[in-house]
Amino acid sequence: MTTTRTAQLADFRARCAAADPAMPVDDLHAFSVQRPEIFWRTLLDWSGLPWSGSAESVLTGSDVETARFFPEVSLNYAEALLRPLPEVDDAAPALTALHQDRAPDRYSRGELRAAVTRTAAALSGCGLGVGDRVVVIAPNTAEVVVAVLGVAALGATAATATPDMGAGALVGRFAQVEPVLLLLDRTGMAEETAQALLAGLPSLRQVLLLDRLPLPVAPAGVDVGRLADRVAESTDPAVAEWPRLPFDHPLFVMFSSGTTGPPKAMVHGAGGTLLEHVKEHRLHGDLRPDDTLYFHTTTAWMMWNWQLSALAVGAEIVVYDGPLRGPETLWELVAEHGVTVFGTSPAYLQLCQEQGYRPSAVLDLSRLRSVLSTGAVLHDWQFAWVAENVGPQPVQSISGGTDIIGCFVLGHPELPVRPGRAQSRSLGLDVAAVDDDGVELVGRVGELVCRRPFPSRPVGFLHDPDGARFHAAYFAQHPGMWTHGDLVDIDPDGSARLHGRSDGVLNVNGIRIGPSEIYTALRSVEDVADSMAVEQRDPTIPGATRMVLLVVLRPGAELDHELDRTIRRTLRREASAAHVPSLVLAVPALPLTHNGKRSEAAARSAVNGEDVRNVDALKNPDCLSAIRTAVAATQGTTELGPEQLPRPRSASAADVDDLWPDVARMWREVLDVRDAHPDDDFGDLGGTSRQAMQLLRKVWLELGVDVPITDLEDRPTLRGVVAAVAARRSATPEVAPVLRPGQGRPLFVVSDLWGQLNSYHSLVQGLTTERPVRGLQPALAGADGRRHSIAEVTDEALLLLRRTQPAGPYSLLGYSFGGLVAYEMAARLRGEGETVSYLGLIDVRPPTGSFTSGDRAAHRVGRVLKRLRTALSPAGPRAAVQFLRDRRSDAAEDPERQAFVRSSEVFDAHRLSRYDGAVTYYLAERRPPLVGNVLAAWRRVAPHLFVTEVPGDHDDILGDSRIDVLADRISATLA
Amino acid sequence: MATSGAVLGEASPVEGAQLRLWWVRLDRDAAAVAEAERCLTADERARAHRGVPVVHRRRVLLRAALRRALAEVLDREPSAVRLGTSGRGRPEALDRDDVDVSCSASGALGLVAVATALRVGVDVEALDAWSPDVLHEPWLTPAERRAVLDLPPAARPAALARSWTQKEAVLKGRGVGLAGDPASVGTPVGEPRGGRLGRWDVSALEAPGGWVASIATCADLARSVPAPATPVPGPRPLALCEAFR
Repeated sequence: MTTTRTAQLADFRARCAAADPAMPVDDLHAFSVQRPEIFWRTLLDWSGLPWSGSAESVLTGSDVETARFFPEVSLNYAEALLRPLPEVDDAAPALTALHQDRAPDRYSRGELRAAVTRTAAALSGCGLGVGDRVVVIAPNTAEVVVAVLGVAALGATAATATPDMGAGALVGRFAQVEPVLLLLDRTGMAEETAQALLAGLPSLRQVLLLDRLPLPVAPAGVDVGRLADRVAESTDPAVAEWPRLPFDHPLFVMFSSGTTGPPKAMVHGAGGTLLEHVKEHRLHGDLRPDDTLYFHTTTAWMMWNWQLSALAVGAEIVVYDGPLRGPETLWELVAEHGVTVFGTSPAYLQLCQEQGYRPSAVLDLSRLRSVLSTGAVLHDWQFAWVAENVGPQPVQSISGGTDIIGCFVLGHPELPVRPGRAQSRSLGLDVAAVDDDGVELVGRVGELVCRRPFPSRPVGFLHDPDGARFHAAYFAQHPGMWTHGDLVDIDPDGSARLHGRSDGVLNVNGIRIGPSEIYTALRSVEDVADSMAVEQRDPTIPGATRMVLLVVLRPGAELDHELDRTIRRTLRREASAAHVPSLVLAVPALPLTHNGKRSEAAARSAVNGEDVRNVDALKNPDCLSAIRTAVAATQGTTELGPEQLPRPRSASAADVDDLWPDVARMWREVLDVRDAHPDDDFGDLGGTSRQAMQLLRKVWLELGVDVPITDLEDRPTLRGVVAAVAARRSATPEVAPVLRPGQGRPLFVVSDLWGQLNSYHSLVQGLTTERPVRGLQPALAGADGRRHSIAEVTDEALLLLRRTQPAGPYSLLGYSFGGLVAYEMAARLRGEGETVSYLGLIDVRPPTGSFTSGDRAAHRVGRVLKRLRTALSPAGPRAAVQFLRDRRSDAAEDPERQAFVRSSEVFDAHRLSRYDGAVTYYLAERRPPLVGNVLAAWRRVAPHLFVTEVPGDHDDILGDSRIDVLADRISATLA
Repeated sequence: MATSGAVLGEASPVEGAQLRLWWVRLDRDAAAVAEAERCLTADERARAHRGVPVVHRRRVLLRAALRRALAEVLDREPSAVRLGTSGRGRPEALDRDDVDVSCSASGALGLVAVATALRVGVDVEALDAWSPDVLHEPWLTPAERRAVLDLPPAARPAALARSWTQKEAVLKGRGVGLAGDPASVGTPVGEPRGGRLGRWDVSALEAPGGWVASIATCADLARSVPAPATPVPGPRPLALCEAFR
């Protein structure tokens, strides 16, 4: 805990005081900006970082745009991070990489150094050297840490990203880097993305894989191999020769999206990055060798680079490549791994709060000493939530940017925490809020600027030889200052609060999105003439923001379901999932200023229902009321929550009007009331939970719309049910209902023996794929009650499939009966020349019609054995009676039972087709003996059957308790 | 006590934990309702009044019973008990972090539980005649549907009510209510004694004729109590001392 520590800051302050006795150090921030040469020189010495050359020249000028730090100092970033430290045992943990499905990878400081040494030697053997550029695409694993440090050790430059980004976004960024080497882990990457990436990076000479997937086909002239093989082949170097290079030598290329043009490729120098990070970690975070840092990030975000540098302090870093499964995920990680400094986001804290999760009630968080939050504004109430539900740890709201690979405002070990605010400005950074004329504002909102040089300013942009783009991006607005594009207020005590972006760049829940990538992608959508993306405060989640895309359509075009989907698909494909808006609205025009400049600010105000400042500056102020009307028209559906609905458009008034009489009748029937007032509460009328289920059943049977119980819980009124039915109906075309929205090609699941999809509910919720999940519900019986054969059911399912996705590659999944239909669909599709990229069968017992006589005998024995075991269990007597009753074969005494038996008959009468494609078979762990015969029956028709075991038995395999294992396996295969 | 009957059962399913249960009659006359209403807060009364008369009566009697039950455990006046409601409608005892409450009602019967060092959820449901319609309601898992059909029709209403109350008890315990999706909680249909559902121990309560009741407890999720170092033992039978009169 914090009480007994004296911050390292005090020691450093004393060093500053000794260096310049004439200048007071009580206000160290004032000292640091007024005596920058003393501050930064003292920091370099005090930090003990390894360097050579001369530090006599600290700063070459006073202009933030051009001044350089330490022009005569040379260093190596990897050396600085991995050097032996006198106070740190080489056997102490340095890097722990957590996975959701396997044991952690652990490296001591010595082991990490050795691994990086070997990797650097191997990369050097591959021809990599000083000044080469490398692109690294991987999830947040230990391998990527080792690889990037190996690259940095050789003096090469690294640019990192995650595999789940779209091909367009990856190529748009990394083609600018002109890499010679691509280090690639394709976990979570679509196969076509990998191919597009290789084709889109013509500078590549070599691809080294970090994953174990099959080698991709590479373009001519590109060498493809596995990094692990190269490391194994290379000889251990006796002495690691890592060159110390100039302070500004390029270390990282980072990307930040602007409002115009492609993403900016900014180059960060090794010295500036290192010094800034060590300063933030030690002086602001008081990070020490006995600390364990976990910052929840991905390799595509600068916080990854930031947490990496904590190695220079001697602290342990923890990385995690798994999904956020719920509010408990990260807190459990923190407790289990003794994390002392935990970095997260307002969105995660809000999730915990909304779900009523109380970490301190269930976990031992005694090691945790501070909580960091960044990515968006952390609200006052969230500080209170942490105090009540986590503990007395200070909450440090921090904010900076990729552009400076560090923070402008952040924590402070000595100052109190004020709810809603960052404690302090970053030492040595002359951060201020200014008005339009560059005059400092105190206690009022202004543009965030930095008025003096700072070491982590980017060295420049790639492909910007004269620095024109660099100048335009940061220095044009306020001459002599770095203008960051954020709005901030800074109080006299130095504490600060951010207020969002000041330009057109969107910040959607912490992810900075350049609308130019959206506009570029939408150029390929013919019906869209123009578009503008703006942030909106999410009406359903306090404190969250979401993206609203305003589109101006070409004459004659209509924003129908199909166009909405095309827009989303295009953005997902060409940009990334983060670029897909929550809401698409058609508007007649976009707000323009008199000189024809687009006014995002005016659109944003209108979308948020605020007054637009300076309406006079607009050429077409009338368009604002049209935007407001379009937003208002969606309110009915938006209340259902962003994650539950793809929300393509609001249901039209006519749709809703149709529904009233039917839904009102069902409401009256279920509740047994004479009148149905639209706003009466279900519970107030005496409705019970079971009656809620009955109402939903009626809605499903009579209107064919699957309304989840959560909709009724959220709005338990007749009006709410009508709105939910309308929204679900328009959101889920009956052809193939959307079980979970997402991006990309859908995963189709085939309905069960009852023709229903709700048995897949837990599984669908547990999947971590970004792809949408849709259901296929072919009719199982004709109007006359005759059960359709499997072939007939397959026919209809294929029809539904093709209406939703006209061409492959297809992904199909099914359980039991549904799996059999999925299998037959795949066989047919393949026979017709289509590609089936994934076929998953969840414990599908082959029809007995496919058994050989030996199989059949064994199967019968297995069933009897199962019965026998049950009979001997505590539930035995009842089961035995049941068994005997079944044998009397009067079990078909009622219609449901008969329906069930008839479906089984259809199932068993079927003969399996042959299928040569790959099949993933999820086999229930608990199963009758002699199941080998079941698999043998499958293998006879599907030779490429890959079997994986999952918990449960045939009947409860889709149940709640261990569904995560199945969901993870499927997610992993899907990726 | 005017609205809560005698203590139905007391048990200590886990070391250091305590559980007390009361049946509550909800078919009482207007005078009893008026009397019960006196210990409610203005907000509680307002919520009760929003309901139709039968809902009003149920809400007043059940809430008052909850207050009286808590008052007994905390040793203070029912009106002085601090009782909150979570976003999903779950009642919460605000006076003591280690005390958890749950309640349920069906028809004329209510059930109230107060637990110490345990998370608790209870549910009571009147038996209903068998109807195949239930197979289309979105709360049974395929395995449950099959298991129900495997039973003779006469045994189905009780099995369904048992399954439903088990699901509801767990979801109420988790504090998510129906938003937690009952189909995601698989229950052992036809196994009336209950068992372990995920982190929850589920037991059958002996209920008056015509009703089925279940209770779910979880020691791991107890409010403000660190998870016990030893595994929680399986369910033990509750000592039932008084039936509904």
